[in-house]
Amino acid sequence: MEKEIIEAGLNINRRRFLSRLSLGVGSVALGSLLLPDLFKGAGGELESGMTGLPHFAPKAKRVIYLFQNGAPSQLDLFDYKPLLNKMHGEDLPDSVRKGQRLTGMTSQQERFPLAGTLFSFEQYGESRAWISELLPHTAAIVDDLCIIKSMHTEAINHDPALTFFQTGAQVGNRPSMGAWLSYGLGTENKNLPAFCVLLSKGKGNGQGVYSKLWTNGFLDSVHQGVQFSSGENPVLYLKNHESIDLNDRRKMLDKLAELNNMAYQEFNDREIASKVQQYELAYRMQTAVPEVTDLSKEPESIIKMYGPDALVPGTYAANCLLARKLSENGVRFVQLYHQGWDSHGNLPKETSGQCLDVDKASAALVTDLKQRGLLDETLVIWGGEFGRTNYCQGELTKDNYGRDHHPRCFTVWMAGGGVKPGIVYGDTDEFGYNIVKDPVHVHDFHATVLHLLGLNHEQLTFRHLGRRYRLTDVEGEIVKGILA
Amino acid sequence: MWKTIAFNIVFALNCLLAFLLVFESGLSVPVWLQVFGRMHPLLLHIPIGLLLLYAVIELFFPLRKIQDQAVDLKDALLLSGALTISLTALMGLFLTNEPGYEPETIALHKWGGAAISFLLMAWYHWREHIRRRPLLNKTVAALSIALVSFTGHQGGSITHGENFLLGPILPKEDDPANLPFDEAVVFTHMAMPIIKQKCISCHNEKKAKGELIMTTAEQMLQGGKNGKLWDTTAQDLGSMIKRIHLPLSHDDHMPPKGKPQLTDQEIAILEAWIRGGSNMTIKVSELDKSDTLAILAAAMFSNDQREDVYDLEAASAATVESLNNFYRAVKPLAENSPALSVSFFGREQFTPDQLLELKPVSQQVVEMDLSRMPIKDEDLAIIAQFPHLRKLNLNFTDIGGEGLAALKGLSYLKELSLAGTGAQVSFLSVLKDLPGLKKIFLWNTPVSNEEIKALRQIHKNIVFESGFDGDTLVLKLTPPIIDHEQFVLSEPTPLKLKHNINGVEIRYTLDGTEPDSIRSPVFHSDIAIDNPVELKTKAYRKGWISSDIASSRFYRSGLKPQSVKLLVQPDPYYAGSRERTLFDLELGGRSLGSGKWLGYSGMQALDVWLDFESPAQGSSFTLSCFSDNRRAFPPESITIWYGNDSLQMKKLQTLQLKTPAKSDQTGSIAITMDLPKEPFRYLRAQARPISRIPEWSSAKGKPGWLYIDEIILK
Repeated sequence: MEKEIIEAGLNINRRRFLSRLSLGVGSVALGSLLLPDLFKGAGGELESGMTGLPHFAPKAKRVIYLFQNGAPSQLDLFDYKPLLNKMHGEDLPDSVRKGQRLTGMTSQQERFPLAGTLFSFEQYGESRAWISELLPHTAAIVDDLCIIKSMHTEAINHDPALTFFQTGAQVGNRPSMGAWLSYGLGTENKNLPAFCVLLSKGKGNGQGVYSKLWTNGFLDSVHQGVQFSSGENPVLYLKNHESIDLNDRRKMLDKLAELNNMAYQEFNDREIASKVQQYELAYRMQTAVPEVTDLSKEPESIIKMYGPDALVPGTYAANCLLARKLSENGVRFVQLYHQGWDSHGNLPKETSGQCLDVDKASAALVTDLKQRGLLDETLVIWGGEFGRTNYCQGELTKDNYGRDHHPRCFTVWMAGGGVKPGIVYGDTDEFGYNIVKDPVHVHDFHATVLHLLGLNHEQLTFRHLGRRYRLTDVEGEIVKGILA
Repeated sequence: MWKTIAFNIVFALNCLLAFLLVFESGLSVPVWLQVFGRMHPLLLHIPIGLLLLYAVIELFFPLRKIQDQAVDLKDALLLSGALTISLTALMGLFLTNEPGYEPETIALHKWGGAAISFLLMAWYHWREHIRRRPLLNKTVAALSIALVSFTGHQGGSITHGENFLLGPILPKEDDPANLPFDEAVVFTHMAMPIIKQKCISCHNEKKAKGELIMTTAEQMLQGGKNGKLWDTTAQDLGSMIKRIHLPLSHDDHMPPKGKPQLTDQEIAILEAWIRGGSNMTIKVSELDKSDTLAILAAAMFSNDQREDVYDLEAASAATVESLNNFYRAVKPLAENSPALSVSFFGREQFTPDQLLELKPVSQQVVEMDLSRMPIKDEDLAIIAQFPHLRKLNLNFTDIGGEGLAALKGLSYLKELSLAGTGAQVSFLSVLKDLPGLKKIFLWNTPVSNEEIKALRQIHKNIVFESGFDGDTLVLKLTPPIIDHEQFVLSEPTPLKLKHNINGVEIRYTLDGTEPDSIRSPVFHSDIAIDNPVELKTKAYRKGWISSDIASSRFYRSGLKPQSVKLLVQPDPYYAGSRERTLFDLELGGRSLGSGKWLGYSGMQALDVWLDFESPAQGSSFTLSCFSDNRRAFPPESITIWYGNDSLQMKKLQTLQLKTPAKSDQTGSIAITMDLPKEPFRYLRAQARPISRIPEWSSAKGKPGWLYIDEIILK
């Protein structure tokens, strides 16, 4: 009897359940009317909802990223830690390191003697930021800089760390930051690529840079970074052969485009369309690039400000000057790499040399943008892929030391483009080992840069292999404290 | 019966609510639904009343008798509460979709509302089970009261502002944001609140640490046991600011470790106030607009939006699109923004027509970048027809300034860039007719620094950017560039030197002596070199320090063997093009890996066999090699044999070179020996690398390397 009662109850419940279910489904169906894009698949190159315009009014229109490849020592440049000088030669307390992993280069060391910096520090500007004597020109523009002392990353070796900074993931194959911007905002000047790359090399211990760092990844190949080289032809293979003039080239490209379009009709492969676009861009670059790379009309004060090296192709100074010219001509993202910061040994000498290469020109770039009224709309970023340890790698002497890789804290500065000028953000402990205030992760850095450019990092997506990808993966918080 | 229907509706509404919450980011509310959404504040009071009434009954009237009689009424109360709350929550969700609501401020209210809606549905559904357990019943009732109060309070804060409810009884604070900008006093309303918040707890009448009391201005001026608090003339502004800036770990750091620290903005305010003379009475409105304090104050006191709001009628997307071409970009500032920015590229392609064509969007253009375009003064009259311009970039255009007067109608113009133009100060009288102007860029114009100073006095609201002027800076020139690829010459060749900086004088010598600025000849383009020379050259220019020396050797090739054979092969890493490398008339350059060097080390010695096929005669044999004084050194010895019969070669001589010294020249080195006076068909030369690197080198004791790029016979 009891069983029957229960069954009867269940019967009613089943009927109820079904009627409720229909109600639920009905209401969901009603609700879906309010979500216009719910069932829209990925059509065209841009994700649904993306227009190639900023999501909201941007602060910065362009970025110049002065990447200090090899990781400069924050402890000898920005992050002043008098305690290290006091404890010079004493062991790093375990309570500070807390068992953090080290690279294979120092993990076998018996001791981790703290190494104070050899260079003197002073405070500058309204923010009273500490800057090392190695960077006198940077110190002079400190009121324009937002110095972030609390950057941290997950990678501990160059390649993954560099790839992480450039693409938001430690393994290769994801699109680079510049490619994401090119995809999200399009190109400003149709005669130049939206994403350009410039390389230079200091005398310090160098680390390689590879074209995977400026790859378009799974994005359309028009978004790939274009490398400008230091030789007579800044863009390789751009010049016409002696036997071909501009008209011949035009005719050839028109015929080629016809053939390519036929292939596109047949196979519908987007890469064919990209190819045609790239030929056309290259054709227009043939006139635009010589105009941009011509330094002969630069006023003398510019040469003095960047230093006479600015006229020696392939130097960091020359690349900074070229970066300004490209940016001024509407290139969204100019990526510089200066190699030679990997001072595992002989740091005082190597780092001094590197600073001589970059200090004057980096500061000049900021000042130059400022005096043209372009700093407000151009974001300049200076920094490496991680920091360097507070303890010495190899032999510690009175006037020489080396520092290993340190991902837990390092310093990056930004200027212009909607960041607060004249501030120091975040802080590290007195050993310069851990962050004690306002940590900024690489994902946060990316989210913030995208925000400054008017892009919501959660909405800048691309569907690939069945899921949507973002530069910030599934993380990233905008660092509100540095927004102007 | 009505209860079943009503509950089904509640269920459907809650399903809809849950669904929309999950997909909220894609939600787009049509206009007619917005009306429904805006009824949220109207409806929300009903469920609050119903729910509170019901919860109070369940909490405070537990008598079974009354309860049982009232069960129908109670159910009706609960159900109507559930129905109205689900409607209210949906309306609220639609309302949040309208602009003007910050996602962070409404998050708590939104989730609270949704939670109440779901809770009530569940409560009604399981009401009988719950009523049977009095403790659970009361808990749920109490929970719902708490949730409703909390959510309601959050909602109130959104509508009426933070602390609306308790505002009247809370201690009054001079909230700077509410203070009229004109009345704010720097000391009272900017500096003192910081001190009250962060310093006074230890520095008051009752607890005066360091004998310092900071409750009033007078007491602060007295200072403490360590003297005065501030010194407006000192570099570090006195002990207070100095201590604030000490590292947190430092014993003298203030506020001490563990106490609330000053924020960057607070530090900036205190510093700027002291630097400005620690004036106790000056008002914010009396400050110079470009003063740091004024800027900080503007951020604190301004209630108006700092962002530009563009109240413009948007041009059609098709019109905007049609105006784009390869040399002109016309783009909205952002999605859904009516404001447009226009940029021009390609100086060669520019014509004033490109400006005229923008007429259809003349109302919408707010930013225009014409930098580097051949704009003339008369074209500025066209630009004046874009009345809403905020930002105008005319850097490095061809304007001379006469046309600037035409811009006077541009009342919104905020930024004007004139860097690199011919604009003279007399034409800047237009500034008084540009009421909105905030910044002007005058770098690299005829306007002098004194004139800019004077302009700053007249236009206090405008920031004048004069930029970098390197007149007084004296720098060192880079060395001249020796623009040659071939350094082994087969015929007289014009000397090619150049320098990247215009107006540089290049002087040179060909005899190995150091060039100087008086005696050495000045380079010009019709100098030819014929004989082997050692070129040294320096760059000079007035106002610059002369450059370092650039040097290079030129060789004259004469005799060339018909065939060359290497008897010992070079190191595989430095094998160049083997035999051909030695007589290709090309030097190796600075990079040993260039493929133009042959490298030998250890027992391996350069041993080369030359065959001239018929008796030849020459005067000298030159070996060009490389030294870096680290690993690469000139050879230890060179031996030459000659003869007309390959089996009976005569030894000419062995040249023993002296052990390299630390001060020896590095780079390309030439070693020359005489050839025999009599004719010869064959020549054999052997050059041994040094067997031990000298003691003074860091690589001491190891075998040295010998690198050769060319053999020259004369």
